[in-house]
Amino acid sequence: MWLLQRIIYLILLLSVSIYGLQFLKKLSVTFKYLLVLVVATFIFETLAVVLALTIRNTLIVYEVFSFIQASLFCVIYYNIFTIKIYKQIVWLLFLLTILIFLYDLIFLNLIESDINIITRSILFIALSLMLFRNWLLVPDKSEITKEPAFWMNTGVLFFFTVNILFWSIYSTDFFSKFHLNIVFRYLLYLSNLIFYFLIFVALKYQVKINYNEPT
Amino acid sequence: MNQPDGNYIFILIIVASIVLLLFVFFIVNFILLYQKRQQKNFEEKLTMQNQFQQALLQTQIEIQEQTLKTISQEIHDNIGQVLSLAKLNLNTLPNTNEPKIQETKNLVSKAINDLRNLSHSLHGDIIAELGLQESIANELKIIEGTRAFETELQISGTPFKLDPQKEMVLFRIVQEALNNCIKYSGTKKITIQMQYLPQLFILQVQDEGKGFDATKNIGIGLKSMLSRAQLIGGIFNLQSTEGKGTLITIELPVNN
Repeated sequence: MWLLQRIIYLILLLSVSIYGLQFLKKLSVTFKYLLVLVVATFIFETLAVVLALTIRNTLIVYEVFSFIQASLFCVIYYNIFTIKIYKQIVWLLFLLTILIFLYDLIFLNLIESDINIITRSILFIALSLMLFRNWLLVPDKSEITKEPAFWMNTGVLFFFTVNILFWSIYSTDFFSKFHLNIVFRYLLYLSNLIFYFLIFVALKYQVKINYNEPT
Repeated sequence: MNQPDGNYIFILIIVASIVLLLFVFFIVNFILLYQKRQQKNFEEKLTMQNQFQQALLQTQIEIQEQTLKTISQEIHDNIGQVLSLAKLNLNTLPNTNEPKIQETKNLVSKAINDLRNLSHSLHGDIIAELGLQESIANELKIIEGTRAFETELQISGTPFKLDPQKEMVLFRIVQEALNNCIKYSGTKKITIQMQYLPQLFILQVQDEGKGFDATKNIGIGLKSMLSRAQLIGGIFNLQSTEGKGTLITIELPVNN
């Protein structure tokens, strides 16, 4: 069951990556970074499956991936923000990400991974909410639902909110008492699929916007 | 799976549904709020654009009025004076009754008169002093003086004075309209109607000339008339059909 879920997930990531690469020239710089993130996710998730099946330890893969993911999201949000102070906040958050990564590297076996994930989720939720606020303060002429960044941001907010809820409850005794682990993991898996589907929608809108422009 | 597990899964599904609903509510709410801000922003931009255009037009009109005033003063003080001196010199000639000298004196007198009229129609202060009705009547008198046109000024309602600046703008519109009639319409008859209603002032300039397709031929003059009318809060309307003449209407709301 676990392997089937992983395969479906990897197929989705591969499809989004191929779609993005197919229209690479139609993507703006920001969405090229987003595509790099999707491709990196596919590579690291594949590596994680291989490591899980062989040495049964994926910690180092997710450690490195989480740093790449946070860095790329910081760059993406930095490009999308139009308010100067928000751009400066992204720099600070990026600095925080590096510190967390270094801390993780030094105390790899000491820090609990769920706290690490929660911290990172808070960072992404903050970025997402800041972008929603940025749009409200500086509204654009175009329809928001046709904006590629809107779908990406909705995906980020949705996925990391689910993440934060999951990992917060995971830390309690709730799981040890009842066999709910599998249900929670299934919900998280679904939210992950929804997240990458929304990324696909974002890329599709980005391609649509630039379709008539010369490459 | 035992009974407590089943209950917790049920609770879990409810909690997940609530979280999902809250999320959907947040996104829908954001979209609605964004559309509201977008509309507000658009309206603010439009207002600012209009204000800027009004200010620009106001400045243009002020510069134009100042230029016309300077020209008017130059005509009155310099050319007028020179012609008056020439007329005086003619009077001091020994044989003033000679037909050639008499004819020249008449021509100089006509030139002085024409220049005075021109100077008056250009000078904003004089227009303000005379009022709109009188200024338009003078303008029509000058046109009639050419003997090429027949003019009529119709006034209905109880005349009242408008704001001097508005009167000035209306007079310039009438001047532009009359200029167009003379230059392009090929008409013999020009009619101006001034209607003084309790809360509305209507000014119409009508000719019985060849007309034009108003949907296609909008020149700078017409655009200028439209902008001027908008500047004073008036509604400009142009009706023209080929072969059926032209009617220009300006409706200006009046504050009691």
